[in-house]
Amino acid sequence: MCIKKYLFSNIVIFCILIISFAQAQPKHTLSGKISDLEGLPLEAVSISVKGLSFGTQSDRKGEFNLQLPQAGTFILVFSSIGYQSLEKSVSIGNGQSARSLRIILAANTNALEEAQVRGKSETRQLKEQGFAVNAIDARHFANQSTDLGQVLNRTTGIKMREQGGVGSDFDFSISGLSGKSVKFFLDGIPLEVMGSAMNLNNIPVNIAERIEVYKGVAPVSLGSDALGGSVNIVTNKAPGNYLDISHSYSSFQTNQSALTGQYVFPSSGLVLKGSAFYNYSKNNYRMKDVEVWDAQQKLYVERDLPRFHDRYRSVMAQAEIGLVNKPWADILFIGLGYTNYDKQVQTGVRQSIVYGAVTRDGDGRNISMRYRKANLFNNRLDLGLYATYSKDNYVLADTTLKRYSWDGTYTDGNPETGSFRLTHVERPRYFSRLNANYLLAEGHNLNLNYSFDQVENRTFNALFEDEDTMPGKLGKHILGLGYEQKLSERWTNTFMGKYYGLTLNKKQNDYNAGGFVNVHSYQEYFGYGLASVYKLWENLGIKASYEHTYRLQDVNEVYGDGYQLMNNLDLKPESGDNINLGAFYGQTFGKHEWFAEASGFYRDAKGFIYVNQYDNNQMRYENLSNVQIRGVESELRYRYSSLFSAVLNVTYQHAIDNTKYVKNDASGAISATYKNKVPNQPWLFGNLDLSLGKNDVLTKGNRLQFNWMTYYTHWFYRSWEGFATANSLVTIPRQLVHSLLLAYSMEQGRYNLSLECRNLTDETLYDNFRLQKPGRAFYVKFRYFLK
Amino acid sequence: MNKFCKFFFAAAYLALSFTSCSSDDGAKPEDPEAGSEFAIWTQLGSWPNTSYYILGVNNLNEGAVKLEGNGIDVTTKLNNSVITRAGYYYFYNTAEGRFGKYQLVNGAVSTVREVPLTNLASLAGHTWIDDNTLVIIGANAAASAINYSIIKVNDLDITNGTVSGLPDRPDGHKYRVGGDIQYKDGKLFFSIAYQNTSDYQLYPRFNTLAVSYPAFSVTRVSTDTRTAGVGNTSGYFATSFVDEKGDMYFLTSWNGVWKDDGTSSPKNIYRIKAGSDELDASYLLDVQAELGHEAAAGLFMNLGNGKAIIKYQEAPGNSNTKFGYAILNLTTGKELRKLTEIPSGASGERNVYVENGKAYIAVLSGQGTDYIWIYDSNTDKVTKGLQIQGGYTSFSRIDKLQ
Repeated sequence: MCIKKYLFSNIVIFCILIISFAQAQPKHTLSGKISDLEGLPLEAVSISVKGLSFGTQSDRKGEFNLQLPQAGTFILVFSSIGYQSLEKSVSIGNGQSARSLRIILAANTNALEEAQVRGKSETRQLKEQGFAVNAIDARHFANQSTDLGQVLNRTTGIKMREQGGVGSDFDFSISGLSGKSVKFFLDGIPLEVMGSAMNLNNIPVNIAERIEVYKGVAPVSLGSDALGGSVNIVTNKAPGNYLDISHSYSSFQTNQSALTGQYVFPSSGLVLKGSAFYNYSKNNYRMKDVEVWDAQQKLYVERDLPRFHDRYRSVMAQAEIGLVNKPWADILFIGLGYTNYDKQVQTGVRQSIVYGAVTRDGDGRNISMRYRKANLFNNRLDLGLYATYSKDNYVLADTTLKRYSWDGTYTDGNPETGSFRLTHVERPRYFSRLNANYLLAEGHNLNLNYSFDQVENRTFNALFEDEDTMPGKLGKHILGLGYEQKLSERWTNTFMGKYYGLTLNKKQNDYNAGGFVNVHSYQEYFGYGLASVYKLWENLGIKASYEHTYRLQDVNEVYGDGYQLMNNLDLKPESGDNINLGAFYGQTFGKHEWFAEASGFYRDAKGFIYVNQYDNNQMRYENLSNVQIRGVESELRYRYSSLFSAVLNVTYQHAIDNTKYVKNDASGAISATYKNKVPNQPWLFGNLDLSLGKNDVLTKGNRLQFNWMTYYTHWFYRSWEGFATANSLVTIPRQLVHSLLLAYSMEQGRYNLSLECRNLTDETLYDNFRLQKPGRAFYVKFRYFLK
Repeated sequence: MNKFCKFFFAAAYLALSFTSCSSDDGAKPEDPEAGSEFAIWTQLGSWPNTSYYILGVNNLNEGAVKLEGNGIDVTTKLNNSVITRAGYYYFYNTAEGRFGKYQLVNGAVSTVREVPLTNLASLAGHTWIDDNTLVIIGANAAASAINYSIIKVNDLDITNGTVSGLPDRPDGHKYRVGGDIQYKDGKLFFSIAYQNTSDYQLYPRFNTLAVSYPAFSVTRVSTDTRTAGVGNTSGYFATSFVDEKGDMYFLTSWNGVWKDDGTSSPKNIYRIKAGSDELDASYLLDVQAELGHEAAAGLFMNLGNGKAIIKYQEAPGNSNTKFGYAILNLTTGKELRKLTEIPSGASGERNVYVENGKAYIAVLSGQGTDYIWIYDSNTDKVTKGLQIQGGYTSFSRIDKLQ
């Protein structure tokens, strides 16, 4: 069945390809690259032909392609706000099908500010693609004491539910799908490669230049089994020298530092790149109304007490050395990375489960190589290669046999987590990726992406054993082929086909064989999708995307542990059909700039894998539930010059239990919760960010900025809505959080100082049932930025 | 258009909410009647949102009931490993280190009293000495000893201790203790097994202990090598009882692998006669041999008049979802009959309640509508009782509350 679907989708893609080729017969093409005086590529430069009514714009790399109807001499006009316009006469002969130009524009210093306001940013360009994408320019948040998770949490369709303060565990959802459904990438490489210290909620915002969130439908270049969506963190790729150092100090003894920098030796093309962060927090915020035992009264009484076992520290350092702009390579980098963290764990799944000695410590190392060469084969082929080996280790320790209370006292007793352990988890991993982009014809690109990701999982309790006697190895071959056709300046389609090959290896106890045996299997699945955008006018577009996608099975989910966890060789991957429909509109009137976007989404996810427990305490992973989600989200942005800006967004999602039969077993009864609203999920939330700023305060080149940020999540039910009595139905209360920021930048942003107050009204916040988040907190941040 | 309207409404609502600070918990259904006679525990919902609800009913013999708006959601407070007596629930919350006494009041769980308790790694077995004295046992954290707690349930005054005089463990093994504990002739009786800590295999022998009360010292050990199991180690299962004659019966329903070829130890029923403090060597009921089916993980209850009800698996193995019920003659150790009138179906851990020679059995038939099936041991008849709307995941308990 899968093969048929795959063949069908490929035939369709092939046919479209042929038809498109037929329509795209040779014309005369002018291409080129536009840069400033320093050689930095200029994007969004308008290129028009004097006397004719067509033109184009340069892309992120400063490159452009312009098709001319016939041979002849033309006058091209290059213009961009902030730069001096340039007119250039270009001749193209009858026998000449293409010509390449190199254009340099000089800055118009008087108009620089306007250029920043009016230029179509990369994030705006991404939003105008066919994919449903949140593109966030992280540089706007560079002076805030925030992490990437908090930045994303303020955008549409994203919900990050944290269990506590800095470094706490969290659940990240895109359009209602979370957990293993969402995959994270750093410059297109799975974030896991960097080690388990790298999490969205501890990467300082300064590490990133941009964050892209692909909802439900991901381009083939992010080769992964992401059922619900993908987050790609894009770091600074500017070719010049820069240095960005920041440090933030805040409530609860929190220190967060970040550094990114690059130094280029222009003569040799040698480049040194580095990035690092350090996070430390005691997280000793006050817990309100927690219960402690009063020995005199012989009662549990409620008190406000600080958290006492929640210290978190994490470090990351990544260094790269490489060469750029060589005849044989545009870039070639070799990198080394190291991460380390230690974390005290304060609570279990509810705050009434108090831990006082449980810790989780880990470190990760990686070595990587990346290579890119563009414009091969007559400027048609761009090639990128990436390979890495990493090793991630962590230890979960629960060895004290004490039961703690919120006042820090304890009684001797049982393991805090229920299991007496020193659990070692070791994950050696190979990851490699090949990405090739081939220009078939003007406006027609093929993108091939192949990634192989193999991770071995060794887990053992060092209190009782020295090694994992039954390690599992999981390999994923993901091959994606995308075809982008720009049918006109208005209409762009992207067709995708993806192949998922899953290889599972595990050593397992087999009583029949009288010992350990190696079990192995290979499974394959096919996914497909498309994304399309059509611009009705220059600033108004509609878009749609669809993907049939998977979250592949894990080794232990299939093979179990041979003892308490039974194998399930019939386990299927989680699968989903995701649809997005959207529209965007942007307009500029003088100094007023508007941008609005709205989209609807539909997710039909089947076969979520969970543990099913049997009466005899035996367990097995099974495809136990299906979920259908429909929703709408919208964002409105307004900016008045550099003085004022506002962002308002709102997300509504309606998730229903689509599991027709009890335990997803078609021989059983129709489940009582079939078509009921899924509980314990936020379904209405939004954000309002207001920003007021003034340039040249006190002295020229300085800027003062004030931000007011409001964050709202509507209340939701902890469990199923229609079944419980009124007095036993638990709700997670509404959250309304206000935060303030005052930032002062000096010398064109070289020195920056900011003050921030989060949770201004000191609300008691919960993302999850009875897991309090921090109350009011103050932050001060200093940042030095040199470019 | 519909989506647009929804979005417009949502946006408007959000906008209003930004300016409003009033608490809003939304509309809630009406309170149901309080004070039911029986509680049927149901589990509901698809993963990961499975919740426990208590459905209060006054009559198990007739009528119809459904959960909608009537279920007391106990998910965040209790689970089905509670112990019940005289209208109260008792719950050892190992994750929080508390022991509590609870009551169902006005459609919600009300805490009567909670006290700290960390003495047992988990509740492996329980028995009542009298109406006010509950004894719970379980292994310590390292499973190197068996601990006990004597709980006076009127005020939750607790005496903790360790059972003395246990037979030594073989090297590399830990103790397992289960739900076969009973109080008889002024002593406690329960069994222990030994489990290998590396591959979880059971040592091929079990030991039944006679233990003095309240000193908790082992006074007699009798052993048997025909099984290695103990009563279910989740101490709320029903796997033992003392009958009207004072004879104790127990089912070794917790039975892991005990041989190198991977076979599990048999689920047998043993007897300790009134006045005796050791296993009755002449008595063995091999459930598999007698019923032709493996016993379920643990449901073995006294019906009176020398009869007992036992739950069995329809198919061998561990991933069972279909169960049947059989009546045993305790004296002869023979099957009287299987209750074939009851559709085989899924169930829960303690889905049978026995009173006055009648067994009330909640069966999840998977056929849309479920019933309480009533077996009357006096007439040997099965009748259909209370109708329960189907579509739930399990019926894990039936308890008498009043």
